[in-house]
Amino acid sequence: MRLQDKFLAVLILLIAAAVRLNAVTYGLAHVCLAVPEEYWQYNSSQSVSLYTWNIAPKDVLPNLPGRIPPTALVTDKTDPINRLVVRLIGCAMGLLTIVFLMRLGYALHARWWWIAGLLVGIAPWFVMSDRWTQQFDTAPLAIAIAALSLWKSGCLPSGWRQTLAVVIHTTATLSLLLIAPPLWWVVGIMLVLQPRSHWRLTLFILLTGIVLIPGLQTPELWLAAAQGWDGGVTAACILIGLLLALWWRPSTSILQTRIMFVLVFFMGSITLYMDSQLPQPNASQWDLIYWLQTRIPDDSIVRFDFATWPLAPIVACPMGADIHFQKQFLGVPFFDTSVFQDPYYFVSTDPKAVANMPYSSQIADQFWVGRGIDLANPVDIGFGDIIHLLNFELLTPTANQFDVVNIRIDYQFGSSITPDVLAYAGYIHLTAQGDPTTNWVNYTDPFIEESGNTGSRRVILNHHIRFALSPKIPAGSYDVRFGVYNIYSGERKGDEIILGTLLIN
Amino acid sequence: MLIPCFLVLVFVISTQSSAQINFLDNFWYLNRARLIWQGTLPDLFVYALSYPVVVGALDLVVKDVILSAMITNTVLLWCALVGVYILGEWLFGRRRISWLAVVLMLFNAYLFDVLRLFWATLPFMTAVVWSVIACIYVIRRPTIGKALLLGAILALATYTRVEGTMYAIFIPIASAIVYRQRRDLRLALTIFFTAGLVFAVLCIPFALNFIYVNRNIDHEVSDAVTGIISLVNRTPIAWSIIWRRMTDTLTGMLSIWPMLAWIVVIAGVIWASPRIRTAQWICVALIGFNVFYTFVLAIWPGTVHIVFFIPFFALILAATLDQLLEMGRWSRYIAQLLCVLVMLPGVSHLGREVITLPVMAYRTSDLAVSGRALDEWLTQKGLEKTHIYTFCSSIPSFSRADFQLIYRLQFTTGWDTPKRLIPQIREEGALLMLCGNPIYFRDWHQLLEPNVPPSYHEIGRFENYVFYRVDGA
Repeated sequence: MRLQDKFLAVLILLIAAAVRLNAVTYGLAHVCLAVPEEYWQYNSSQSVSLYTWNIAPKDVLPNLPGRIPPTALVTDKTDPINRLVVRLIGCAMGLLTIVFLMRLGYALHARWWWIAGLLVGIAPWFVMSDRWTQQFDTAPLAIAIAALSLWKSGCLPSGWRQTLAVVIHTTATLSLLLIAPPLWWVVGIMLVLQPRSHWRLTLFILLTGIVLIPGLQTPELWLAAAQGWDGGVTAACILIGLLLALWWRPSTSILQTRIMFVLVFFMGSITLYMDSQLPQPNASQWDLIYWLQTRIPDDSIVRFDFATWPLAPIVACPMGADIHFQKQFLGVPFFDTSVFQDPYYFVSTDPKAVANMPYSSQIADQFWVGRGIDLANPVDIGFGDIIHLLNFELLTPTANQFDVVNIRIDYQFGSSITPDVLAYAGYIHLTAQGDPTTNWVNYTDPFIEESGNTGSRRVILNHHIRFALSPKIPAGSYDVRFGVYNIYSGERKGDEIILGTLLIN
Repeated sequence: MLIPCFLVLVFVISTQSSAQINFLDNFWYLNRARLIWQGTLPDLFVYALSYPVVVGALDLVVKDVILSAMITNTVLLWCALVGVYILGEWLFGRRRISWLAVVLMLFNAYLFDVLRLFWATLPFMTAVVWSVIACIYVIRRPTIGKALLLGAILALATYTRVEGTMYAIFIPIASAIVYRQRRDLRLALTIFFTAGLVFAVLCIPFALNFIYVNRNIDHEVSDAVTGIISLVNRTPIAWSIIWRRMTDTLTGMLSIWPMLAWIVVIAGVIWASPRIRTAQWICVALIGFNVFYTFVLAIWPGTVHIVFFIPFFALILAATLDQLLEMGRWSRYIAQLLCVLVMLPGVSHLGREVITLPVMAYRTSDLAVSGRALDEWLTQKGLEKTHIYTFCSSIPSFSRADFQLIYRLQFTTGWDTPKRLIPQIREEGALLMLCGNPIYFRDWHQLLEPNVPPSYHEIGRFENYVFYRVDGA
């Protein structure tokens, strides 16, 4: 290899390493930043891959050592260092793939070997497959090794070197059955491409693999994996195409080389653009995210403006908080927005955008969340994390003795409803204006019990609290007070509020 | 001298504490062994018949059904080992392979677990080995006498386990090979019809009983003994269960021999020298056949139902190691090392058993003491000859009283239903014994809950064993 070619190869590897290591630590610190490519690690139902090589269905012969039932590989408790190490290993394997590809391209006398290397180095399919831990992400490396050793076994004279090359080729090819079951068809093709039949060696490696690797002993889990697909498999298929192109057309014109270079450069730009779009929330944005995660009712529609739209998947946080809502983008002028439904929340950085909404909250000084639900007296008053009062109305502002007073409240349950909240109830007190110490009504409404049926963050509309006035209550103006308290300890949750003034004739 | 000494050792090991005798269906088979010789047979009496018949016959002499089963197992192991030796001689033509196969089989750790089973596992393994021997014997010396022997052994295998019927395929195979070797169609047909006729005639009671039970008593019998066929007949096909059966079959096989042994055997079969290649592939075919019918027919292809390939695996392993021993100095060292490593789990298992298990401990166990005391109590009450039905599975093996276990294998209905048994108990003037152990048969729950049903009258109790007479009401 010429010196300038070596220099070029090293330069490509450096670029590839830099692209891969850029943002390699992304999302490790917070589960809500998990990238979709790594969601599979959180699933409790796993199928066969390199990462789950020792998987076995539940209840299958526990006396055989080393087998584990399908379980999540990563949880929010997993040490980020361990996950980072796996990602770095993935990056290293990606670099090895580039090395093998360029070596093969050079050996095939392809003039554009370096463009092929650069493509694998910076194209988004390969970078994402290497940087993120994907289920079948080692497939490109196995294919590169198999291809290189296949070429070597055809070039080398008979002897131990050729045998070694055949063994490496066969092992790398058959390893695809474990590390990328969707590529089972590639295994057959790669084995057929061998210059001479080595069926004994193939059979031995295959059967030994089945004996040693529990994942290959379980058809149900293997077939589930074989029906899957991910970025690693896509990258492997593109690599196969690239290898075929290197072999089929080693010579290209200068114009073709330039076009290819521009295309590769464009793909690298896409990779960098995708990296730049990875949301990196600051402290204020985290405040907004946490606020929304505690306040978005299930299955509601939430609209985001351009500035806050990248935060939507973090708010949803499928691997952590798992908030289910319909994300809606800000309607673009001149485009049909008739399909848009009124959102429950509209999240914006512009206070004017939410100015016309019935109620809006300001979060962390720079975000405004407008609430779309139209209520007569919209408020947002929290009582601990048990309920949030969204609206209250004193429907009978004047009354006589014996009369029933009717109050409407609309509220939302808090984000962490547990059996402990059953100890809490709402109360209504009636105190004369100017004499808050004398209470004429002590009414308790255990409406918080309903949270057991509805769950967290559910909005309850049009709840009425009715109580009768005592015949002894003197005429005058009274404050109707509302609060939440612990029925066992008497401890109040949050501050008491005055719902209105009741005039008693 | 080594093998007889080792067999004595194996016998000592198989006489373990009573807790380990209480294993899966052991007690039911031991109970059957005694009932058969008293003329009491379950509906599907042909199911796994031969082993309890032999154990029961020995029990008539020894007067200890557990000891009878241990002696039977030891003799059967001896027969299996002799069979493996003969197969090694006939298939591979080398005494060293035969001895090595015998030793490797003896030191198979799972075989010790098989010895603990007082049911048709070890007998069927022996029957399979001898069926193969009979088949080869007919091929080597095709006479009517040998064909008769082949048919009889195959019938015996069928009466040992239902899967034995599959080995009837040896009859056409032997006939075809005889014809191919000698070009004598008449001789081949004679072999075919003689062995086939003997097998068919001997299996007539088996077939008739099976059909009768399936039509009149238990419709699920055929499902329970035809494994995967019942799954394929479902709509939609129960693929998830079929995949699981496949996994269980494979992992079951892998758990019987160390992984190293498997790798050696795979290499040995693939790179077998021409001298032993045919024999190796015959053994592979026999293993494949074993796997096939276990996967297809077994109630569940668990480890315990797939052990019948142990002898053929040992032969392949022995032949492979023998091949390595002959290849050169380094290969010899490797072969010796492999031999040690393959036998190591078995040796360590054996060592642990010898150290930890008290010899003949079952005779001094709590259950044995209870059994003897119960016998005395029954004699005092004049009930020693009374037929007693019970769900208490463990005590009948330690007592000489006339117990009959109310029991089912995998069959959910048909066997020992209260609808059939209660009138029978009443007519016989027999007793029902309960002891508070869980009863897994749902149809009995209504009759036994609360614990003392109104139509049963307690006639006495000893320790936690309560005896009831069943009234007509």
